Amino acid sequence: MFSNNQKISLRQIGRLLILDLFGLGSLLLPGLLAKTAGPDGVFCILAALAAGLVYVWVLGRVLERMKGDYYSFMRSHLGVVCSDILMVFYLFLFLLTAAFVLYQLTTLIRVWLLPQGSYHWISLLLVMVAAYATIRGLEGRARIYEILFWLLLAPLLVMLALAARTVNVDYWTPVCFTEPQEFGQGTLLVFLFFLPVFFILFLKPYCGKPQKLAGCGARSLGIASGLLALLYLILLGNFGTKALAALKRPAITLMSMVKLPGGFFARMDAFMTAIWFFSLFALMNTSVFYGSHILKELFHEKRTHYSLLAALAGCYVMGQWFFAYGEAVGLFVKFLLWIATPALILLPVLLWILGACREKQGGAKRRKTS
Amino acid sequence: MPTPVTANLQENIDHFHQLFADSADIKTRRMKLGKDVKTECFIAYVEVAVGNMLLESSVLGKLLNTLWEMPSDRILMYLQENAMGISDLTEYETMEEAATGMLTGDAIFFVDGYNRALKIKDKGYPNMGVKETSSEKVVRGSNEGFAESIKVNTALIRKRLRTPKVKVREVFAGTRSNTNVDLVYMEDLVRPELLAAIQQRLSEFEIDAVGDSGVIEQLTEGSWYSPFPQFQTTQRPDRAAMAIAEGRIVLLTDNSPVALLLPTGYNSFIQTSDDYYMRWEIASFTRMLRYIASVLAMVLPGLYLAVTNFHTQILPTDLLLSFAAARQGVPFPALVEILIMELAFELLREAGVRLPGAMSSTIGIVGGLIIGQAAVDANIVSPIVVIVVALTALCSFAIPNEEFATAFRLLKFGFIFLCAWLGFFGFLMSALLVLIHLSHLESFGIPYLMPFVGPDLNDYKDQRDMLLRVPLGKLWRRPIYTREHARRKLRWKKEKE
Repeated sequence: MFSNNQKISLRQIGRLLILDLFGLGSLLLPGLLAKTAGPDGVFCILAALAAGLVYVWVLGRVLERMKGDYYSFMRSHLGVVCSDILMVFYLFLFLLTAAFVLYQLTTLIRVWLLPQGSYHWISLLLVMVAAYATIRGLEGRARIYEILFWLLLAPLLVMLALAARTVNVDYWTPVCFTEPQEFGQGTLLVFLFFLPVFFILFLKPYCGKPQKLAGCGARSLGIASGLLALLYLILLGNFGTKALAALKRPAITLMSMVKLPGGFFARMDAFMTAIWFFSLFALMNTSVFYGSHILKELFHEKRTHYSLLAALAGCYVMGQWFFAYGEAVGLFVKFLLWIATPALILLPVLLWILGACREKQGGAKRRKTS
Repeated sequence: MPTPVTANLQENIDHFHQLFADSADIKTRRMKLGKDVKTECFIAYVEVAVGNMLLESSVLGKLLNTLWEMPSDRILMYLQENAMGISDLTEYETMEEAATGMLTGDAIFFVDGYNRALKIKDKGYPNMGVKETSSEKVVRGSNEGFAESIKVNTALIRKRLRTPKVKVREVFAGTRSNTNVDLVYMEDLVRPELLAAIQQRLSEFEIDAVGDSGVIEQLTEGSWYSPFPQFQTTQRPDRAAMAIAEGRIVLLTDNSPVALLLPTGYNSFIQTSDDYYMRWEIASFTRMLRYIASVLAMVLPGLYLAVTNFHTQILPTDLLLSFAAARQGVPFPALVEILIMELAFELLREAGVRLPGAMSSTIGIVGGLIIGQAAVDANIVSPIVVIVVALTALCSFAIPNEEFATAFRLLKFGFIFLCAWLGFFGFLMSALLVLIHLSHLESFGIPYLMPFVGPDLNDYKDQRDMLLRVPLGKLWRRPIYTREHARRKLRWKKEKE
């Protein structure tokens, strides 16, 4: 039969990526972006999209030259030791991302759904469900988000359409008043939320049509950016720059304000939290999956699930660190800005150049011998 | 070591009596055949299963009449030359085979000097015959239901699919019951790997007796721990025939009026036969209702608990106040209220099933109206809870397949507990767990959530028969169950020209 081949379709990858990119971004980005770039935030999103597309193009060049998976590609170009070190970096990044998302998800639940809930128990439950989702492989996980995609997006679009009725367009102006430095900061901020697009490097062995993976990544980035821009405009139009900048999770606050016609529901924030619950869970799950995948590669594990358990344990422990240590989020952002982002950009560029050089050398040799 | 049938009739009779010692229901008769009454023969059969052997209408009667009028020296030659040519006649070389053959409900016939036993078809075991189906009722279309005899059931399918491409592969299950299990499929549509998979699974176990197709179902399904059935059950021959025409396999078990269809998925369980007999608008509407009902049957009581116990801000104040007023005087927490009503309802359902037909409707009235009203009057439960539980029950009845509905009935309790514990977070967790489970679940290699997932595998054509059913003329492609390159099921004559 066609299932159980550990391959997922471009449609599944696309939907998974959109949820990965949109979930955390829509939750945290609007407030931060309003603080940095105000009404020009929407242009920051567009600029970040342009930068993201260039980045995906570079990733596409790397994917073209990749024969097997990313790890073996790195080994063939950078040597075993160097690629092992880089894989440890990726592992750390994945686990840290998973832990940060777990922290955000647990906090979201405690703020909007279960105010008296224990952080530890909630995060433990989430990790256990993530284990159940991940243990059966990538195919099942991809199917979950393939189904959830429209179940989440359709109500969101309806709510946004309803919220659009109360938009004050005066809040969208003045535009082009932001200092270049602030605009640059805003663009970088948005780009940070677009970074999960690098997941496509690890997806190649699982993709049914790997030659179209970069295109799928670009499409997902475009859709996620469009949704973020739309959400930002509606939030800005409803709250104004100052109020938006003061809100931590303005999208959910907006959902509590939207009045549904019919009068059966007074407010929808609790229901609409589902969108961020599932999309953040998707990002956490994806990060844990790749983390465990790297552990498997590094320790040559075959049939057991020790690496998955280790990745989940790592995610849980780091998630506790985010909760217990007030400075943890700041440190994580610094790590992303100064270490992860440059590494995630430069490494594919380096691999692309190395690959191109090798191809040239190979071509020259072939010409000589012929 | 099997004992061969010998030319010596007495040896055969002795061995036969040895095999069936202390079996009062096995009737035997010694006779002498031929015009000159010289050739001895022996007939054995299960009482009631074989009719009057002198009647012209039965094969046995006809054969005996022929042999009586024949000279004795020609009888053996006649049997040797014509035995295989006579319809409904099977030859056996060993006594064990002959005994098993007789236990299928036919007569077994030994003739002195002839080293084979002959099984002669007769009316067979008594069974209920073809009746109107008791479940899966439809508004439009046949209401003929499967009988308990496997032969009748295969014939009911053949009646609807009159093509030699319908194949019936027979296997036996149960070392003691020797139950016939037939795999019915369309030769050119079935996926060969699917056929191999079910045959493999059928050969993987040995069991004493197979009482019903449910035993086969449980022993051959992939994920035994799942509450969701991985075989679709049906009592309708038209549903089974439709499945065969889609490239699926129908598994019939003797003595069971319930056929198993494989592979299956969520979408198949929601479809009904009359979805295709009625106009597409109403078919789509009712199907959409069934989908919503299947979800509500699982989540409604849990959602009620989550909203009333944790997230009251969702409801408008007026509604919330009326909920609170309705609960006034009820001494139990909402969870206990819900559990009392749900368990009472499950009891009513169970009692209704076990009671004789006429009384089961009485129990519905007594339980539903009198006990429900009395419980509200006595302040044991609030009227809102009665409404929620009744609505949940209605939703579970709207699911066309009983086994499938059972999964939702069971999972409902998981939702109730998690929602009572964690509110809407519990609801989301339960929903996620169910979704994860369903996403991983497969029925013979086909994802359970097809075509909600992977519709690209059949060029997005399966989505035309999913939440909505598009007009029949647009449903020209068979679903993913069918083997590749054989998926065209409708062709317009104009198109052909």
